[in-house]
Amino acid sequence: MVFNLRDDELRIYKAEEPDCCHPFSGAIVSGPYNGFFVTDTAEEAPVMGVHFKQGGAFPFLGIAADELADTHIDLDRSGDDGRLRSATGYPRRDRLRRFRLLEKSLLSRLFRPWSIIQPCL
Amino acid sequence: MTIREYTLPATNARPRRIALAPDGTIYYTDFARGYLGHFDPRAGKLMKEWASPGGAQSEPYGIAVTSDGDVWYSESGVKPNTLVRFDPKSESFSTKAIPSGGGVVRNMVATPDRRLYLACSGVNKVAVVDLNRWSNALGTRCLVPDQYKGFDMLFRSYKPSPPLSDFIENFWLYDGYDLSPFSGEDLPERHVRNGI
Repeated sequence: MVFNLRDDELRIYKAEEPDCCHPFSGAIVSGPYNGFFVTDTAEEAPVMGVHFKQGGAFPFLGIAADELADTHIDLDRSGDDGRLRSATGYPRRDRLRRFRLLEKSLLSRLFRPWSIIQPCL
Repeated sequence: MTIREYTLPATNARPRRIALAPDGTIYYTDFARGYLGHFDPRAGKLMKEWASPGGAQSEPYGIAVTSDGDVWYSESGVKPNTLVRFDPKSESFSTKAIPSGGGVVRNMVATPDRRLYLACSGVNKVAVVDLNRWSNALGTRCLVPDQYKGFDMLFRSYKPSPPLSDFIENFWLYDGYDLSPFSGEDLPERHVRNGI
């Protein structure tokens, strides 16, 4: 899970077509990749994210890891209601608060009823 | 003692350097095609090839394999030259620009204390790389804007508390290249700073 804290955009270039830009919103989910992809670091300062353990994203996103293989999706397509993104919107120097708000927001999603998890794909 | 030749599948392949991995297999830099190759001499066949992150004109050259099995090589066709790490387990690449430009790294060696020594031939320098400080949580190629070359990128991570720690490896924040010395004033001890 990646959040661009500067612009509402993230650009991804796949290994097989490095000259072709795939634009996304500034909040995306990056699946497990069987290879590398290229990001545009010039637009990503600062950028924040969550590194899930294997299979660890499912309780939060409701999407199996294999559905995200070798792909990126916008976070709002995963059923996020905007709270995860808003948790990152604090001044640049307030890093700990950003981390804790994102942690709190994810914690609330961990214990929500299964019925409101919205599979996106 | 005999010499045995193996023919690679790609007729235009031009392996420039080879390096022996701990498992007895061989990695080679295919200078002409911009590939990293993996060859099994026991079976006598090519196991797999990967396009180098710098592309077909990247001219991979000097190569070394560290004791943990990671493969390191330099792209001499990319300006400045790059140092590329290849993780065979995840088959992922990460790249850094060599601050001096490299000047074509024709040879490199790995030492037991996890350092790489690079012969930067065209700039008359030897570069020493501390591999213990190399990390790239994203496993992505980093395109370094010209104005930031030579600066370290700053990467901070935050370990979640239980029960999130069962699902999440870490939270991370990349602050770009515009660095001020990190004092740690706003992060308690369990938050660590990593240099990418």
